[in-house]
Amino acid sequence: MNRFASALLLGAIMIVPALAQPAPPPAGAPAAGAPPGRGAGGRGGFQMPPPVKGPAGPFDPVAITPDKEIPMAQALEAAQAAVDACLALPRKSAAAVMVVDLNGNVRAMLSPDGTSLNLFDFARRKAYTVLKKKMPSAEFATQPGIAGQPFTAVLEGDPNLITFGGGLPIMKGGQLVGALGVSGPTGVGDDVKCAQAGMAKFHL
Amino acid sequence: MTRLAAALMLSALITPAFAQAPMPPAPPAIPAEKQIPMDQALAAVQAAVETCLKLPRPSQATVEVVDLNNLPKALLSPDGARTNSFDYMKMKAYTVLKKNMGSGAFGKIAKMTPGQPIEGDPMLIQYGGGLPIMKNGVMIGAISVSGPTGQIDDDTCANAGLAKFHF
Repeated sequence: MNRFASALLLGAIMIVPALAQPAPPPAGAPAAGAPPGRGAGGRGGFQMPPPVKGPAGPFDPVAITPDKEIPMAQALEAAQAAVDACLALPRKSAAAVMVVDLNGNVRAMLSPDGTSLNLFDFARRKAYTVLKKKMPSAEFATQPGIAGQPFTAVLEGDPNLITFGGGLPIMKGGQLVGALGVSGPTGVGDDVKCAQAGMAKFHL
Repeated sequence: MTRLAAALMLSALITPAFAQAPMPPAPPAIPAEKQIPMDQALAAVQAAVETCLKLPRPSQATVEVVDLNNLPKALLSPDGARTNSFDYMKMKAYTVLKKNMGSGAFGKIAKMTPGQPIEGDPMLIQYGGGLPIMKNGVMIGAISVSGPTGQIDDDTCANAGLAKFHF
């Protein structure tokens, strides 16, 4: 009985906000925000989370020409460096790390042992914020109108935007070609450090 | 019964707070014996990507290893990977987790209606390329491959990745 009740509770928490929030589409954005399916499958009372497609959303897909390409080898090296840097911290942070291209497609992603799905989602939102705002996610937090907002607030009507540091832009020849997102359990300061360790591996 | 009612009331109280917050609820933690080590996941993903690139018809396939929560433990996409490969990769991993079998094996028994999602679930897919990762006879995750050259190649690469796991 107890189990059933907690399953119901979890279900109500998960499903009701989705219904309560009609998610106003941002102006001028194609209505492609919703993932193709939030299947009700899964184990027990737990609803399997929708597959995460990277920060794809209100962006029009762009052709990834060679001058905008992030080589896989470098993406992997950067992800690994960020994961290692986080694990080497005094407070050993098991941080989820992802490298995404301009379309939000994940080029490389690693989650060390002990990472949770929540951290994964934060890493994704940090990368998304970098792509959309074309600045580090920590810098977005200092923008007028954004600074001082509670961290749970939906910013600019877009629930994917986030003000936590840990997302950094990947630049090539002065233009944005992707983003690196890091999210670990020990806080934003650590995330930024690890992200910088990962960024050092890019030589584009 | 009172407990159930209390839980329902509690959820009604909590929900408005969550309507503001886009934070996803924490999924159940995965027990230690069902966790996939990151180094093995990475080795598997790399093996699958390399196998696909070395095929007679080189396939720029995206590959991921997910745990039971559908959290990618490792994900790699080679240069030139197509966007729709990511979608198929996600669907194959989802199909393995939901159906507890390879996505190709599911395709053989799935009841399909043209123009309709399988079983009403648009994330289910009948193409091969997703395989369960087994440990002592129990599924602990999935490896999923999707490339432009088709499901037979995808399955080959997924098997190459699967060979890297040793529990």
